[in-house]
Amino acid sequence: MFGYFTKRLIQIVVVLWAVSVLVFVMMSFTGDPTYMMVPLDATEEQIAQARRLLGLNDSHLVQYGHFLSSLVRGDFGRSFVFRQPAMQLILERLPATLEIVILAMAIALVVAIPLGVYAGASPERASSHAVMAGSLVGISLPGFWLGMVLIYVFAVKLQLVPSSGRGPTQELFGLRVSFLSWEGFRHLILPALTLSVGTLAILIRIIRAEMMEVMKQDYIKFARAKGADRRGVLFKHGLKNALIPLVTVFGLMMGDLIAFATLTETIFAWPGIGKLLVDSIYRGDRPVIVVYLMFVAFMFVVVNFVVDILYAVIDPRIKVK
Amino acid sequence: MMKNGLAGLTRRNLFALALMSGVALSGAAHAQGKSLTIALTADAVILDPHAANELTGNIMFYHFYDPLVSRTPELGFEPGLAESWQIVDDTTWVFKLRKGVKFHNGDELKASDVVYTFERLKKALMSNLVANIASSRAIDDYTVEIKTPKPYAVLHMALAEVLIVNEKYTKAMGDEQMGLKPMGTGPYKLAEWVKEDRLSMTAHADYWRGKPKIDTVTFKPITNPATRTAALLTGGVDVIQDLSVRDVASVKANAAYDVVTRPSLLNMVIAIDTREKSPTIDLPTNPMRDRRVREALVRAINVEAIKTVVMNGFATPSEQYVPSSHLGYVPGLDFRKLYPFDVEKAKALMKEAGFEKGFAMTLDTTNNRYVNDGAIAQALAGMLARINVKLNLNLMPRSNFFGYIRVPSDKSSFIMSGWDTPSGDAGNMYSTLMYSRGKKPGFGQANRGSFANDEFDSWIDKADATADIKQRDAFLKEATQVAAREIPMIPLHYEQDIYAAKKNVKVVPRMDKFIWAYEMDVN
Amino acid sequence: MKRFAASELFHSFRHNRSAMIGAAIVAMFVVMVSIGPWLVAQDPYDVAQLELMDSFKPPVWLEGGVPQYLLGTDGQGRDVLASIVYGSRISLFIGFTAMLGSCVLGAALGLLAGFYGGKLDSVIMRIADIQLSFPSVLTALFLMSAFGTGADKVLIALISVGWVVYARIVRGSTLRESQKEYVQAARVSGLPNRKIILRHVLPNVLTPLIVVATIQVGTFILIEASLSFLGVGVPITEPSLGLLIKNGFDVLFSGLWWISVFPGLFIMLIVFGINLLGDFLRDELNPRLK
Repeated sequence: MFGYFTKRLIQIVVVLWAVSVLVFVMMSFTGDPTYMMVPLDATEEQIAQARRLLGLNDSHLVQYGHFLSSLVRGDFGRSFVFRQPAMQLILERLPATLEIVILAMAIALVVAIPLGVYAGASPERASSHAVMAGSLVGISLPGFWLGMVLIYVFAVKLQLVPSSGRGPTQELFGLRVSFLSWEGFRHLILPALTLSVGTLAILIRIIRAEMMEVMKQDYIKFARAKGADRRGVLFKHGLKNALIPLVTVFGLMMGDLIAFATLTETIFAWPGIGKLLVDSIYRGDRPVIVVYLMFVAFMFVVVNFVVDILYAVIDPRIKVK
Repeated sequence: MMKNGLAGLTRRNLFALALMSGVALSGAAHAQGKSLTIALTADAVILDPHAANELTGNIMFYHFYDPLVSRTPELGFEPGLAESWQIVDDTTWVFKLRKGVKFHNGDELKASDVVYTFERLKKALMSNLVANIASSRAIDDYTVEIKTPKPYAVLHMALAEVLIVNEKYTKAMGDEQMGLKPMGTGPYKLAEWVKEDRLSMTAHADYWRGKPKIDTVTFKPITNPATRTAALLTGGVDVIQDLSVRDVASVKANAAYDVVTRPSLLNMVIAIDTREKSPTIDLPTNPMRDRRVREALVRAINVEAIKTVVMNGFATPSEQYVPSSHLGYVPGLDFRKLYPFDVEKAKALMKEAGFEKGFAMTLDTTNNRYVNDGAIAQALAGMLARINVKLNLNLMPRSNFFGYIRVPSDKSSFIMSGWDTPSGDAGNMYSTLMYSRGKKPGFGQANRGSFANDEFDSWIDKADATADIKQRDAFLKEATQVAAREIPMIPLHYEQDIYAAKKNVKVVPRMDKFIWAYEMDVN
Repeated sequence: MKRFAASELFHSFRHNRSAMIGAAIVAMFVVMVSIGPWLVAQDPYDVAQLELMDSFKPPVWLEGGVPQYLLGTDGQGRDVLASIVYGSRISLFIGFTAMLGSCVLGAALGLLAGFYGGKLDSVIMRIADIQLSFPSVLTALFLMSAFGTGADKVLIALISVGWVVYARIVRGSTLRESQKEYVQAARVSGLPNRKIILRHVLPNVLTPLIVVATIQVGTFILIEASLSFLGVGVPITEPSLGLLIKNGFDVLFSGLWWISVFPGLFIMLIVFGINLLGDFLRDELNPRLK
């Protein structure tokens, strides 16, 4: 077990390092951010001074060296634009993103589990076909477009919910959250709904497929033969076994949600890390982009690690290697 | 019914009710002082006035800090922290500070703070703001002497952009904290800044101009124009910046609101390459070296159509390179009258110059920096196609643009960008954008078309050699005449600023686009 | 043998309603992008043809609509229908070409890794692992932010994220196949590796590749749309469907819905059609579910 932990730990460090190298190499392709910072009438000396202040005077290799050495000291570098530690900028906005991601995940699970179980248990019914067609539509539509349509219908036309932005926030365990007040929650509904649709559609399909597999298993047939009622069999035996594989895709789904949050947050002007990334790309704010990607990579690696452990706990047949 | 309802309340509900009424009460107490909420298009990124120069930040800066010389909404200049100044010799100015000016922390403003500010700026990102200050020293606590590197008649105007910080406080805070916790002599103190949500400030009771009329000012960043309008109409916000042109009519029709517009200083201009060989033109010589071709380009562009269709009427076609408020503006001179839109005449000029068949080149511009920049570029392409000039569009996000077009501009032939000169002086624009490149350091550094005209340069040299502001104006006017004749750049239009506010709010639109709560009031 | 498989496939295709619908949608799009440009009145990419005065016309059935512009116009006077026809061309071209590129690159790397094993294998698979720990949208978004806009750059970005899945499948199959006796025998008999790969290994991994490739075209169309929507995809002068949506987004709140809603519907339709086909192929070609 201990060996496994160290192995995974080394793996995490290697992944993060690879990401940092890759990002640094790629970023050397982008335009020089100095020109966005200095006024248009800046002279050569002023530009040189700005470069020095932003730490852009050195070669990329030296810059990377600086980055790594300060990384070891826990310093992730600072934003060109905000002149604040990049990590702090990300952490400040993280609660907003987690809020919609978690709510989206919850919506997806709550809707997908019954639908998936149903479609998997009686795959030949017309309503099951409708569910499947619906989920295929959900996979096929661009999420950002759906968000726009939802805004147009529910915010602009019906004026039921606000069209964008985050509502009032409250402190909860030191984090700023918005779901505690009704007004805050109203702001949350559309973005979370938009974000959930893709995941929801995929979940339905996964659960259905697993359910169909499970239904073929002998113990289900036994249970049915013993006269257990259908609903009980479905949810007690069927669902339980169908859900195990879900744990493995949890990491992937979190990844997708975080990724698509960039689009959702941009549409809804939701002040999370996704919008920060997109804004930083527009502004050429290299340090924030680097730290964002490393941070997200770190999150994925950790989530996948937890998933592996969970999987081993849930399904004892699998031994942690 | 009522009784039943009340009886049905549980203890917990009552508790909640009590809490809520408490909230309401504190809200009422709050409302005794005047408060104002303003929606801006973006949030500030940093609150250190020496580390950034973008509109939203500038709006905040001038609430927290003051300059030595203040700019009026109409771009006039009046005493600020300095109550008077005099020119001792060609390169020496002496500024007398106002006495008893209090920083937010109670410190009194001293000459040493001013000198420190200049020194700090020299090492900061915005060092260009003090490029015309060679040295400065405190003669006594309230007198500062400034030496300029050369005669500079408009130093006081340039100083309107230099915000004075407190030496002790700034040293103690360090650069990073200065970006978060501004502290100056300005009319407002920072109360709370929740990034991308709100920035609120409270009145500085000891402000030297007198206590602000509005006690609490809150700025909210709302990027989407429609959402901004909605925020105004639903009452959450009192004033909005940049009312969407599509919403102007409906807001105007509503008696509860005012729409305020004014032309801004931002002139959209196209730089024309005049080099022997142009990077994107596949011809042995650059056709645009011929003045007739440049004139044809001007005549082929229908600025009025761009104004009505692309800008929905909210633009002011530019007469010259600088607005009428500026030194160097020539009354009566108008590009639109000099070279009116006339496709036939433009074609004739092209033919005369031997380019009847036209040529192809690339227009470089942004797609997210100026109002409708991408749409203007597409409209230009359509218009120039009629004189057989095929415009390929290269639209870039601003993060790439400014590095891409940077002098020596070796990838560009035709560049559209905006230029504003809040200093109120054409000299700054001319020496940066049109003065021959490489002649003198600090001149022609953004001359993207490599325009070179000795006569033009000589007028700028003369203007820079005098410390007399009237003479400077006269020399700059001569330069304007030369430029209007030679067409180094095509001026298109000034963007227009549109604000909307509740009727009970007095909004003072400023030429420099700043929104300053100190000038506003709520009834 | 091959013909038999094809005809069996064709047989079940004819009895599968959703597969037929999917095929019909895809066919419709192929027709639209190949002959559409001759049917629409306007070339939306030719700025000289645009009439600024005709901007923001609503669809023909709404008040103010004109028959000339069936689905209305955008802020440049561009016909929305014509834009969709031209935009679909770009979206489909990018989706399909990027899929081919990913497939070739991924299959090549997978074959190499699986067949030769050793260091080469672990290097390729480590890269694949790292890449898989990132959602492809994010990787593509990041690559585009470094490259700048352009259809060619979108292709590179998509291929960079798309090859991994092929490499994994092909490597797995290759490993399995190369254990088999006939491949071992071929190796011993001195047949050159290239021939073994082409003749024995590749044909056996084709089936799963076809399934993945079909679905990937749809995914790529969606990713390209996302990139263009964020302004880091194709250039504004030659908009894909995603960029059309973005252009309409800015004016959506003012009630000008048609500029963004129609292109979105078309994206949904084509990806839906592709996915229907992909589902069918997976069910038919994947023995596990059969």
